[in-house]
Amino acid sequence: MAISADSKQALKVKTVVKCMQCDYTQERDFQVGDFVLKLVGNCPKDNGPLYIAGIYAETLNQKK
Amino acid sequence: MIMSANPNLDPMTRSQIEISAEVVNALNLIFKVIRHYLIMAKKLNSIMIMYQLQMVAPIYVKYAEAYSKAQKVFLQGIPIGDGLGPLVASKFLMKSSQKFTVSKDTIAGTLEFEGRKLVVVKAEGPMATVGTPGEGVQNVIEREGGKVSRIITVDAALKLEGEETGTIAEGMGVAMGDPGPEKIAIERVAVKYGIPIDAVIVKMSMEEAITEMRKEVYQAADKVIDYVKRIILERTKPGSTIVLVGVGNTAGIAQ
Repeated sequence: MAISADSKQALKVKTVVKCMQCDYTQERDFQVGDFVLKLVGNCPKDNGPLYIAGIYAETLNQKK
Repeated sequence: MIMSANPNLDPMTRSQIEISAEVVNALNLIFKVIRHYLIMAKKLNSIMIMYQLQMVAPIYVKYAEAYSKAQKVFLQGIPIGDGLGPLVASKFLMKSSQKFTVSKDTIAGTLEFEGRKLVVVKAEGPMATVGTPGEGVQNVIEREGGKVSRIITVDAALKLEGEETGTIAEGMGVAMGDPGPEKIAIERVAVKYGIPIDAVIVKMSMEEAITEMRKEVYQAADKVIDYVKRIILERTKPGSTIVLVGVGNTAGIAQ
């Protein structure tokens, strides 16, 4: 039976954290409880509020 | 039914149970279709029906795998590819100070953009729900007395094999996969007040639409925002009101 190659791709879910006031951006692994626009602390650069700007999955092994 | 079994459930858990039940239902349907053709082939003693089943089986396997993966993703609260519309809407709603519920599980917010009033509608996140955008848009437009110059809908769309994930396409009409009551509700109110409708879609496969949002789709959200802004500037005049609808499942995306 042909099993799709897409389904076998390993994915890594990342969370993008951004500062509301400056250009500070940080990427970390997804943690359960994360959601987009959740406030997650203060910016180390200017102490502004940090929020989750996005959550996405990246392919670990390249498609052949 | 879920609430009657446990009335103290929080909306987030309720939405996750709802979506899990939908996934199980979809998997059960695939099982029933395969079984139907198998029994039919046996009953009619037809090898041709078996051949047909063998030919379509890989497609059903792919769907079943996608649904199986989708359930895990929903339970963890990770945004899915179909959340593209709500993601775009949430990026606009970040700048909105006035948010209100417009219909069941659906929220709207107003903001000013280049002298225009922008009303953004999306399902209420971060619950795993698509909300009721049709009724929501209808209520928003009635609330504005029909004085809306444009409706812009943003949604994820299925690509054909060979097309690139994350590519943007534009068209006319409501961008909504569901041909059910939500789509017709927007179309009815648009016809009633003579409001043109634009559709902006981002392409992805079915698996990408119901599992973790891929990086290409996430990156396309910013491009869609620029696209929507250009549509507003080119096709509407300052002082007008525009309704922007982010269609899709808002799992893991708040507002």
